[in-house]
Amino acid sequence: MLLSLNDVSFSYRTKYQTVNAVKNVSCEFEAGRLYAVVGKSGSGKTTLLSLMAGLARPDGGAISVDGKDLLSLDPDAYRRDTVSIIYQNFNLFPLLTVLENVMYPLGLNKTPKQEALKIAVEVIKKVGLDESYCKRLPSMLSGGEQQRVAIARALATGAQTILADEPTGNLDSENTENIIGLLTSLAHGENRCVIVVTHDQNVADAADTVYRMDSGRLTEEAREI
Amino acid sequence: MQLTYLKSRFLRTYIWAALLCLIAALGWFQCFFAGVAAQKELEREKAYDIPVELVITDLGGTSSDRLGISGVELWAFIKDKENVTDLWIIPRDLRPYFGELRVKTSLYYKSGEMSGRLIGLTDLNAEEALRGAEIVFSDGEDADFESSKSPQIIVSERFFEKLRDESGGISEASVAVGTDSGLQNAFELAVKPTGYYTGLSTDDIYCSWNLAADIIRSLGEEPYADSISATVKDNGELDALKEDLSYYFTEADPTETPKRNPNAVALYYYKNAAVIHDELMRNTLMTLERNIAVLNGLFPITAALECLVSAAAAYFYIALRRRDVAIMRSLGTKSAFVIAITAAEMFVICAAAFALSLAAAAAIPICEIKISSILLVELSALLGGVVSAGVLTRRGGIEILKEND
Ligand SMILES: Nc1ncnc2c1ncn2[C@@H]1O[C@H](COP(=O)(O)OP(=O)(O)OP(=O)(O)O)[C@@H](O)[C@H]1O
Ligand SMILES: [Mg+2]
Repeated sequence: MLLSLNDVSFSYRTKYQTVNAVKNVSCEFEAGRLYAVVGKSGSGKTTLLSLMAGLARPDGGAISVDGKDLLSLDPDAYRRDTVSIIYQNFNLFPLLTVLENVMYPLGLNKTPKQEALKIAVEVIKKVGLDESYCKRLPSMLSGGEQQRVAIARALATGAQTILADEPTGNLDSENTENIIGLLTSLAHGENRCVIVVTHDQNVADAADTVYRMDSGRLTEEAREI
Repeated sequence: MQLTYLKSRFLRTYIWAALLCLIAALGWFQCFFAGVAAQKELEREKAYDIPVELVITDLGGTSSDRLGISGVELWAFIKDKENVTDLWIIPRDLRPYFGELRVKTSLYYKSGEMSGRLIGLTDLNAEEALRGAEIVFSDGEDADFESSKSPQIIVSERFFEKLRDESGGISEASVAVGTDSGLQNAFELAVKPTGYYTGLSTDDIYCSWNLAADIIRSLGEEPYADSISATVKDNGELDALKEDLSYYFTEADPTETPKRNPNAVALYYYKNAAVIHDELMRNTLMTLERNIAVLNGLFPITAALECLVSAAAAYFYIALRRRDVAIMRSLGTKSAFVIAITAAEMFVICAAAFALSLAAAAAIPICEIKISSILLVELSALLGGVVSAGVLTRRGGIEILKEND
């Protein structure tokens, strides 16, 4: 099992109140499958994702990665090598070109420059952009194109787990189709574990497993096949 | 990879240039400030050279043909004034204190309906009454009383007009001169003015002191002076001079009954006879002292403020990239790395700002190069930037990543 959550809870504590965003969630994720997490706004989907990304530490329960407790791993190394995150708002470096954005994580894991360049160009092509995009800044791209660059960046390091938070939230239906195709091919074609938080029924329909989040609790949705 | 990021920041934004200029300007300003303070110190040094004059007045009745400011003259003066003959003192030599001596003596004159004083001077420029007047010399005459061959005589414009004949020439006037205002013992003198003054209400006649002395001798008396003045050579010796003068003159409190200073043979009732005119120097010094005190007091305050502004500017400069740092962290960049690269960037900016401050301070003449002040400003910026990076990397990051632009 690539990623498993066992009785994971998390609450946001502020001076004024405590929000129990994730309550006793247990679930498992395997490589080679596309997962969708759906649920109402505020139900805790993003929180769950950030727990899996190691951006937040669970208050209770444990997350294990390849059988190892996430807390025992170096969180920086974990995010650098094992997991990649894709955001609704892309989160590209605005001052770096497309190529530089995609090469950034390769620089972090000390891939030699020439090899990094080759990989970057390769993944940029894989997400359906040609080389003419390499020198552009994110501000010179459409939303759909930016999201593809974000996906290319997530792919570059070959991370086992791809976490995506509403990757199609800002995109039109045609771009959504493209992104769904990409994510599906990553799971099925490259044997990665792809977990997508989404409001989009089309994305949910494409997933192998759908989890539903409701007020911090997670349930697996029955699928009619 | 971080270098690519920094390179992009330098090439694709210009905020760094604004920060650099600001930090450089702050560093430079402190040099400017120090320069202004140093300038004032210099002015204070110079203020000691403002001429100080000793004027001994009320010498009427003193007779001496060796008029000068030395113990001998003063002693003679005191003896005359106090009518003491049995007092014996060792005169102090005051001459080394002074530059050239100026002597003034007054007589009385009458010429037809014109009357007033006939004043003998060694230096026309030293006469205070004439400073507000304009002096017009006849052709071929000049302002130097002592060096001119024919005796210089300056009268009022009114007197001068009276002596002008039809052809425009000036005729001689017959003048009765005496030592008392009643002119009981008068000497008839033919006077041909060589110039006139305008703008004064009196009809006094000004002439060289030598001429006045000759007149006094013709009247059968020893030449005397009613005031002697001299410029103090070295203002650094003012205190010593005052000390020596107190041997002859007391500075009695005018509200008190006059007392004789037991250590001084001075004339207590002529307490104002010797006046050292150092008011200008004293006032200038006082103003400068005040300015210097204010500047010195402000210096550490402005330095602290500049460090604060520098640190705050650097803090916000780095804080602008909170989203970038959040993205870096989510991609697995170590926080220590973010801080290190920020420190390196700030170091480069600060080094450039340092050079710029230094160059500006060197180029602008009034500035004094204050390396320590500039360094303090740079250090504050460095610290502000690094603290900012530290704060950014401590944030969870997920909140920032969720934000939409
Ligand atoms: N930083 C925070 N501090 C306090 N409460 C928070 C914080 N972030 C989220 N929450 C709360 O936690 C709960 C879950 O938030 P989360 O962002 O995970 O929801 P979500 O399912 O992703 O919603 P959406 O679909 O709108 O993105 C919400 O009730 C939210 O108000
Ligand atoms: Mg969300």
